[in-house]
Amino acid sequence: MALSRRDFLCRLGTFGAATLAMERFGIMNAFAQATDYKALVCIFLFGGNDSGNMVIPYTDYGSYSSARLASGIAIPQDQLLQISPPRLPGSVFGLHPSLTGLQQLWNNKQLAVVSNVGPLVDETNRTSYRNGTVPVPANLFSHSDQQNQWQTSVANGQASSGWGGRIADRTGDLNITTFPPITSVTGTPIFTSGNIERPLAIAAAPTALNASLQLNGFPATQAARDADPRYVALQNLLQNDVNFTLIRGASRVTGEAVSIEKSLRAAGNPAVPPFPLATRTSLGNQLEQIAKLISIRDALGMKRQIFFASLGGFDTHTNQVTGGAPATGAHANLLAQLSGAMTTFYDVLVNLGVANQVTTFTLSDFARTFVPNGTLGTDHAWASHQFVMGGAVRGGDFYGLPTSNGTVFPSLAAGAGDDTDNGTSARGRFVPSVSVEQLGATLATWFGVSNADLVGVFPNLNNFTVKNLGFMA
Amino acid sequence: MIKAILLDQEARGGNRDAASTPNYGKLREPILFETAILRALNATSDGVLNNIGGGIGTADMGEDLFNPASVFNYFPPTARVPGENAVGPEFAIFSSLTSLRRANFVNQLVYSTIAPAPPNRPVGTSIDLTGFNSLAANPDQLLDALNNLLLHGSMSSEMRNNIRTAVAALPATNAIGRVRTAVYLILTSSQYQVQR
Repeated sequence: MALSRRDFLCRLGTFGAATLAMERFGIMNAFAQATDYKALVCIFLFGGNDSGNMVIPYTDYGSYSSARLASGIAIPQDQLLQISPPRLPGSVFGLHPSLTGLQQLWNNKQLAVVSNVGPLVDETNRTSYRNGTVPVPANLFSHSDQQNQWQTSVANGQASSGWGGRIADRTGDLNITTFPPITSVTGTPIFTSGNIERPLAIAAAPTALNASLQLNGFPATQAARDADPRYVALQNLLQNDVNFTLIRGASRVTGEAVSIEKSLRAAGNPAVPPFPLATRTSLGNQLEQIAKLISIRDALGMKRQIFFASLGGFDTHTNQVTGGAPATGAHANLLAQLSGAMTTFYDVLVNLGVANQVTTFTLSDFARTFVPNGTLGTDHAWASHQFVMGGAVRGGDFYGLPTSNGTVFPSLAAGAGDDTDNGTSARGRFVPSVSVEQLGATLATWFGVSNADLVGVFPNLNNFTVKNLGFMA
Repeated sequence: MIKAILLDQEARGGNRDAASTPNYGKLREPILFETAILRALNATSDGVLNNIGGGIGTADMGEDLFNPASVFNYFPPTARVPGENAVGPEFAIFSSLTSLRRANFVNQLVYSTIAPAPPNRPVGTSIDLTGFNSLAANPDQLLDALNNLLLHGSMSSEMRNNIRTAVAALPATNAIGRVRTAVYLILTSSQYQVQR
């Protein structure tokens, strides 16, 4: 459908509430055949994940060890979990040894790697970057800027919304409900804010789902609450003084919270085995709560949902690995948490019968310098590798666009090939061959955003020839 | 000249211009929200407000004191007021979840206390509302006093009517109940959360 209901209503906006209500009914019927369900789950790895130690050449191990062995952070070749992407025939790669669960999903073709991706304004390579002949993202190698660019997809200038939110703006009306189409279990980062849709924020597990939003101090039953003059006044006050912008904005958020709290309180607390994890983790708790919400999707009337979870601690400038035991340490622990939480989440989705309808993907500020620093750590870089997981993913392969060596996997040489840097102090900060917008557009297209709407979600997409990376079935 | 700077209308919130400027004001960030309440309501506190359990500390509201998640602090300067074409940095950590947690903090203080938990919380935190009990028989006098104390006289008549209805629903003999109702409703209101 080229014209979303939202667009349609916007155009009818001046006709008044009665017309709008009628149109809502009419369009709802038009969408009634959409009995499907789809969800996108974003896992943001805050701090900049060293994907150079997450996806490692096995056949061409020398290109990796030559940069990383001397500094003590190279993962030994015999500990790599081998994977063979058909796109690079004859080249075996290895996942970090912490990623045993994800290797299994790769083998089952439920996990793909998007290679060498990052914020871009336009198609860029080492030469055009170094010659300054293309516009490049603002303030490269900076956490706050690159986090913002990954989440908004806008690498040049300020954006006031994120691409998760903008996808919801164009698909949220498939939901026959007032329940928000975007839910975050970790704050309200800009990824989740649309121009129209606003995120719901709830608490992660082990907080029960029906207590994940909670207004204390009122009677237990809704009937008793509705009869409580203080509860009534609390809601009435949200309608007052709305001529003041900030009061109106705050009351909008609180009003939604009070209303959704009511729905969630009635929702119960469904069990979603195999969650909880034997040892609870931050990311596991977040994905557990998301799984609970997915399990009640029909009761909530949801057809399209976007979720946001995150894991922090990836800014590994020092002691990324344990000295003398590089397959262990801080980064190994984070990847183990990621793998454990993602694979358990996938198992839940299989149990719920929606493994083909939920696609989970990672994002992160940036990858890290391929040439390490001298403190068992790595510094800020640019292009990174990301995972996409789901039954609808064409898994077991690498996806991307040609780098300097003609394959989707970049040349790892510092000061040459795909590096931004030159000379003997080059750090291996690779230029992305794939933009965040191409990654996002591939997911959005699967999710149901029309080609005509894609540029509204990803404003620079037309700067790129390829609009779909092909990793979604 | 110093006097002119300090007393300039622009430097002083709550002036006539502010009241008539729709975009004026700022959302109180969690720690300023909590300490403003304590300061106004005769509190006793050990100052532990960050991690106090029950989902009502500032850390639960997106402001883990002295320990922000990044070197860029708790909220970006570019964050917007939800649904509005206006910048409001503090709104970056004001969500459905944290909005209700602010209300739950108020509920805990107004209807109970934050109990001591030695050694890290030797005294706990409590407020003292007994000074308002004598006004409870007359809701308008009670609201006048609270309006001056908490909203520097900015309470609109519609807001006053809504609170007055809830206060008067309790019998005059329940003085503390009336005071608590009025204080709870003011402190949880957006009109209080937004400092104008």
